[in-house]
Amino acid sequence: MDTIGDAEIVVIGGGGIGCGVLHSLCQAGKTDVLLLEKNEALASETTSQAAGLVGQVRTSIERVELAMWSVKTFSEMEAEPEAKPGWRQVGSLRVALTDERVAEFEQMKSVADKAGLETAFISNDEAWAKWPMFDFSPAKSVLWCPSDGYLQPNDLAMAYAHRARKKGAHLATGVTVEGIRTENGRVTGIDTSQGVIACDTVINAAGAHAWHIAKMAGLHLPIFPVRHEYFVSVDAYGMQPELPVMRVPDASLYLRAEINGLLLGGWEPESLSLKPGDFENGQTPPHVEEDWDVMGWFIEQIAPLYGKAADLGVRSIFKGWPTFVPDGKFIIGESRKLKGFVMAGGCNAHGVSGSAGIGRHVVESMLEPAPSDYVRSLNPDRFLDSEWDAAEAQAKAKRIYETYYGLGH
Amino acid sequence: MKILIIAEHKNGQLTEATQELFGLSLGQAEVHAVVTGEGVEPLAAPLGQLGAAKVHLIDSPALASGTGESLGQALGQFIPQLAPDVVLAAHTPQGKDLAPRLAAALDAALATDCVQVSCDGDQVTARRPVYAGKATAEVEFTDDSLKVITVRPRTAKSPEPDATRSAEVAPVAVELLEQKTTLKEIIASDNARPDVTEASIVVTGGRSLGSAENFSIIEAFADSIGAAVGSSRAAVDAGYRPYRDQVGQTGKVVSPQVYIACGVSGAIQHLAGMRTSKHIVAINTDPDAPIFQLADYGIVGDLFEVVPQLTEAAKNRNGS
Repeated sequence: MDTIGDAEIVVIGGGGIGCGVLHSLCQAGKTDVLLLEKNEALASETTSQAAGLVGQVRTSIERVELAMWSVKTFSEMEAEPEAKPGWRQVGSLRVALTDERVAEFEQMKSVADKAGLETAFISNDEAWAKWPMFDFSPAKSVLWCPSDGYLQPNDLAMAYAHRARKKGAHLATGVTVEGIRTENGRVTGIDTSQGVIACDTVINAAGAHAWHIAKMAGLHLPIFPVRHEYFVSVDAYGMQPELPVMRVPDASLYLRAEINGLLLGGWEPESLSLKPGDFENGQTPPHVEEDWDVMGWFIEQIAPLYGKAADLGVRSIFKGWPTFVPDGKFIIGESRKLKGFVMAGGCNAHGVSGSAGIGRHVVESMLEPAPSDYVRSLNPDRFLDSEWDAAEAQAKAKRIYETYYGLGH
Repeated sequence: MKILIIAEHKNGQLTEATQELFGLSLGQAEVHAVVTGEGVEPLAAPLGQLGAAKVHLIDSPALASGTGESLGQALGQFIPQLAPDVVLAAHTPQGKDLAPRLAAALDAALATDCVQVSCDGDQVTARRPVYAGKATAEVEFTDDSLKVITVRPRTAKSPEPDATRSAEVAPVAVELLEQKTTLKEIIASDNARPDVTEASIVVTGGRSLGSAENFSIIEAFADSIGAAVGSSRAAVDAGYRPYRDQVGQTGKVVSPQVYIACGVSGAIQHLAGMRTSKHIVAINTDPDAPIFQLADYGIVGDLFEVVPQLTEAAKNRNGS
């Protein structure tokens, strides 16, 4: 890793978002940039535990466009010979089990049409041809998006880092940020475990530690880690890596093949969340114990489509602390309260799939004279202009997790 | 309680897994053993020294090859004559094949792949791993019908043979019916390499090998130093190697004396499977690859150049 020195822009956090933002800055011509990661390796906390699903079908056009940008970026990165993100454009199936969900899919399809994203309703037989181990008879509607897919989040972070380095960016690991230096209402540098770094801009992409970093800058933001888990099964009949990703929102589940096993995860109703102050800046968030009740709930939820899931051995459980915010929207951009302090967080478990698009929005918020209304709506000041109640904010953030696939999202 | 242990043997010796069955907690049970095959009489003495009170010999040339079908027939006739409460076999390829046959033929209760078995008075309990070892099921037998149990090797320690003990020996005659299967030939696997979880040296290749064929340079190097061949998730995902070689969070966890990672970037999931290795050597073209942070020795270079040189050096050192 590189030695650290002063830089125009310092990105704090070496996960999917931090590396994605660094990459976007380099693409935009900002190459006097330094990324700091407190762990010994990049992407070692939340990113490497992510399932890597990349879905573009959303209820708002801005979110569809952001995901389409990510997909375009992943496809370009995968085409390069070195440092591939492991992007597989296998398509995705979205399965509705209720009439309300069918109506939502129809609305999502019209948003996709407006954004120029190809999608199609397919018959249950066509869905079965794509996932022959599943019983699609309970499905009321299946929406197919051929350009969706999945990638390897750890490889994605490494690929962003590799490309950014080639443009001149520096990355340093094992460096903890200890303070933000300000003068006359603007950022002038940061204190780190390896000394002071002078910089004009700090980008806070610290994931589960973004709250701590913002607090150092005197900004109090409602960013709550919520536990998320999924499992990978032993090899199962018919599973192979080219199967499309599947989402069954009425069952609150997502799944894909992991080589020859099944990867199954979801958003359980009784989620477990932390107050950000429950752990220190220098610590990793608390270790997550494997929660077998949650795994059992996933298996019950998938049973109508795939009863065999109950017979599969579990090879490994992945788990981490993605962050959620009370309104379920990203926190992106520079606060009016402190010039040079830019947020890139509150990803609500969209960090990996959205990373390229989020990086672009961060750049837009920083460098473009007139960012879009959408990008401006993500500004951290929405939480800084008025007081918010900690317990209420945490309850709302938790609710965003639990209703991840809720109607009207 | 009467317990019957099905003894396996190879090259005239009792297998380790069979000896371990005598180390289970069998309480005050009356322990019998049965040996099948040709010329098996010499095995009675060691079985007696391990603790069998009586050894039953089913000696027949037709049982020498030991197909599941022939053993199932022979034992299916013998077991009702002895009328034990419990039949124990090791969870080996033979035991795995035999136990369900016997349980079905004798209308017995079956518990396979147990990692704990205890016989206390009339009570037999067993524990078996489920969900790939993430949880353990406790098995209780609800009536007094025959119980057939297979036990995972290394569950118990073999007792020290007691030279003062000997078993009563009883020959048993069975009548074998016409066989639907015959064993024609045993072909040794051409893969003489050790298993990745057992080897003291592991050489692992990653996606940068580029093809299944290119793994031959990893294999040649592994063979030159007596190592097992491992694979990263990415190389298994790409179809270059089978799952059994995969090292990492969703693969095998290994802890060899020396781990040599060739073209493996060192994703956190991979590190989870090998970070307790004693000495780690990494070969990678990218000096920023995270594997170098964990490595004791690192070579920044192209594995297609470096690995053949290492193979050559090892061969010269071996004097071949």
